[in-house]
Amino acid sequence: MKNLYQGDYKRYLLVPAVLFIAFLFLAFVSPGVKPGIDLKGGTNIIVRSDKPLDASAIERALTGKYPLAELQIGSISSPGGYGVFMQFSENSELAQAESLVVQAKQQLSSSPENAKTLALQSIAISSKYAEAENASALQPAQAVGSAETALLNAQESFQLGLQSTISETFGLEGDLRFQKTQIGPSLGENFFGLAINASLAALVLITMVIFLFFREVVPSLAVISAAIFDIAGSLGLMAIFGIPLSLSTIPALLMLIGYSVDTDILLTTRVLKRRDKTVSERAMDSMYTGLTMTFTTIGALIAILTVSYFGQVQVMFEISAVLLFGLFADIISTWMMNAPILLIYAERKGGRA
Amino acid sequence: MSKMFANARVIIMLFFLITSLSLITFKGVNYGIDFQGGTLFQVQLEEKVSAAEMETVTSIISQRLYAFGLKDTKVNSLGDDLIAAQIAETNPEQIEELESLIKTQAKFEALIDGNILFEGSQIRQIFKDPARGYGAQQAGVGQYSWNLPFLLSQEAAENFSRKVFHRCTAVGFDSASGTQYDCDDTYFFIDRPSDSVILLPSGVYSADSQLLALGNIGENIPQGTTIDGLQGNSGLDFMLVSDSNFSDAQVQQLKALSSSKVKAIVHKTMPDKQRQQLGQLGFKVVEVREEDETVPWIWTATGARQVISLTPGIANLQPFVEDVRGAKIFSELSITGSSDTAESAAQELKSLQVLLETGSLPIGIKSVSKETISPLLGKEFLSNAMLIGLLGLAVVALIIFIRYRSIKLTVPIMFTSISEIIITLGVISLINYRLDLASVTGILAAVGTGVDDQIVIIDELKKGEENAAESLANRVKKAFFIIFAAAATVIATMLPLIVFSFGFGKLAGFGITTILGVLIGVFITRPAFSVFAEHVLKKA
Repeated sequence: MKNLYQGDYKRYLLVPAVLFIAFLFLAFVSPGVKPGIDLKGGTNIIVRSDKPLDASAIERALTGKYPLAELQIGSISSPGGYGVFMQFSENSELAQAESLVVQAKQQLSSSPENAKTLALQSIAISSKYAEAENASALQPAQAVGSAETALLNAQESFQLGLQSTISETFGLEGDLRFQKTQIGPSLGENFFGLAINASLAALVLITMVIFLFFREVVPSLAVISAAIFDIAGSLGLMAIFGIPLSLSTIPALLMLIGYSVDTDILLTTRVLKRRDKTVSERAMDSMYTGLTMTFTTIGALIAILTVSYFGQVQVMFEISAVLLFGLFADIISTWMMNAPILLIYAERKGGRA
Repeated sequence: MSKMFANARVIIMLFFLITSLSLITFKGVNYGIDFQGGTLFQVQLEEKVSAAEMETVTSIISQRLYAFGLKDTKVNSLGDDLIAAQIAETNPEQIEELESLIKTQAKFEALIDGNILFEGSQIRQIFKDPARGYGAQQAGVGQYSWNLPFLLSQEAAENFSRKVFHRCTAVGFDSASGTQYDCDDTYFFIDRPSDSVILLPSGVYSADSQLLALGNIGENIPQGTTIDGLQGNSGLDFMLVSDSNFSDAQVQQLKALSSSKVKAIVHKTMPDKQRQQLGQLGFKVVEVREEDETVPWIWTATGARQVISLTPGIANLQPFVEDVRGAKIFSELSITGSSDTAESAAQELKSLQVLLETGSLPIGIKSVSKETISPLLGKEFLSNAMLIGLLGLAVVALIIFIRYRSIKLTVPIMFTSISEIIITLGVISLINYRLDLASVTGILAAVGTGVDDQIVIIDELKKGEENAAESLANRVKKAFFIIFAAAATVIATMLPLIVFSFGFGKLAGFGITTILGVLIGVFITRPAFSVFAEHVLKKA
């Protein structure tokens, strides 16, 4: 193979520059990366079975019974079995009943009558799901308490109804293979904040570690930019393929920094610290090693992605998708961005090109 | 070959490999809910609390779950406003019941003869001040006593003092200390199911009678406790059921009870037919699980927590007060006990303190989130995770073989990667970490960086062949610079995840095993791999 780094290698830089803007657009403007239910709250249910499961039947059954916001339903069939997943952000009626209770509690001391009205409205909604006592004759404080109880009962009855609707629609009995995740919106926010803080701390630490190892400004910045490019690339592709930002994918995005730095460090040490061949030959050599590393990992990730998709192992599926996307981006960032930058830098420092 | 295995780096790796294999085989690896099934509750508090308050809240929540007869419950605090509780239960109805239990305030009650002496909400204060007598101390050789003083509201104090008036009987006289008394017991409950009828199968009745008579120190059951005593003091309705059908008399009795009671508490052996019958009678059937075979089921089902004996002083016998109208009202009470060791005395004191505080969860609950995975799906996840691991390794082996066209290089890479997985699992077994999907993915990610590093080592060594001027050792050194830098970056990115999520949950799970895997790779398996690779390439 001819040496790609002889001649006008600077033109390669155009590719990552254009892609970077495209990735940012995809990730943040349109279609945009969506937060998963563990970061914004919601319910996710997975049911697995040995017999085929009809996704449209469950969709009809659920939408006929409950006002579920942002409902998504999908099915999967594989030699290992059949599966259905259902996801929604909330039962909009119960969410309304809940917000009425919260408002009622807040207004209880300032305007008790108003609080009672809100509580009664909430009870009216909750009573559609579970019997509730008539609170119209009660004192405001008791009425609010009664609304709280009614809401708790309604939520319980909704969850149980959901469960039985699913079992009845699919005709499943006894020991089920299911996963049900239910995250409160405030908990999601809490996790989101935590993940953002952890990511910022990670970026600061990583910058320190890279400067510590390279002790030169341009190569360090190149390595850091490559990592940022990889994360942007992964986010862009996540937006296209509908992989959400979640408690599983955030660590994976950070892990990408680790994978991306692997090849960058290899390239940087070989180009800047070796004296055996010409700079461009050394860059080309490291490309052979680096691409072997990346393609090995990509190969393993494709295997993981396939099995976890059909087995509905969401955590593994999402993590491997993010890493896979990031590694594709890494091929571009390392060999079309970082390598030309380092070659220019080495030339300016007086190396033989 | 023998020289290769005599190398210190190889010996170290083999040592870790064998140790890990025996740990995995004999100690085993703990699974989280992803693989064994179960439910994880995440309870978010309304506001941030101090570390001391957090400890109280977590012990209260574990007490409540415990009250439901749930074994294998783990409650951890995460930061200053979040609590995670992991339980083995996956039945949706039970889970909903538990959620309501966590969300609502638990109720502490002290009773005698079915009469309430005082409730948690009537406890004004628990004096945690040694000057007031709070604490555990040595009372003699091998004897430690503890004392828990607390203050009741005026109303509760009056009620209490009247109801326990003269509840001791004189059993003898001693010239040194005066009349000897045998005093009645008071029973403490958490969430006493006063809205329920408890259906006690006769088999359980006889087993529980024996267990109660024997007593149970861990459960605070004194020796000689009886089912009748428990029922009489709890004021609850028990119904003894003998076979798979309710008798006509029982049906009538249940019908009468259904006007005042909402729930029917049943044992797991209760047949479905009877449960349906109870449902038709208008009861909500609640199954209470057995904690384990040493704890009487009825003890759990009634919510009983402690049996505390009265003292002649508190019963207005010492000093003697003739008439109940003249009874001294005790608003400041204290409960005392003793134990053989300082630790168990402190433990008893603490658990009683939590019990009295349970009525008043110091902070409201904002939301309860939960994740349930059924044991069957957990099994499927586990086998899928194994399949994924094996398939991943197979793909790596194939690509490496295609790239280097050498079995001799492929085998050491596979051996090293498998060793990394085994040693990581060994460490996980050692530290009792619970393996879940995120942490398995973390192991695979670490092995992925491991394979990358091995490719760097091979390529550096191969270049050594082309350029004889540079020694092999020097080449390996250069490879290790790259490896250390890469490992340091992985650790730097993953460490904040663990720290910010308090070592718990999906964020931390991935980070913990990735860091573990990378450390094991850098310090144990990769040094050994470089020996294998040097050996193979020298021969080639």
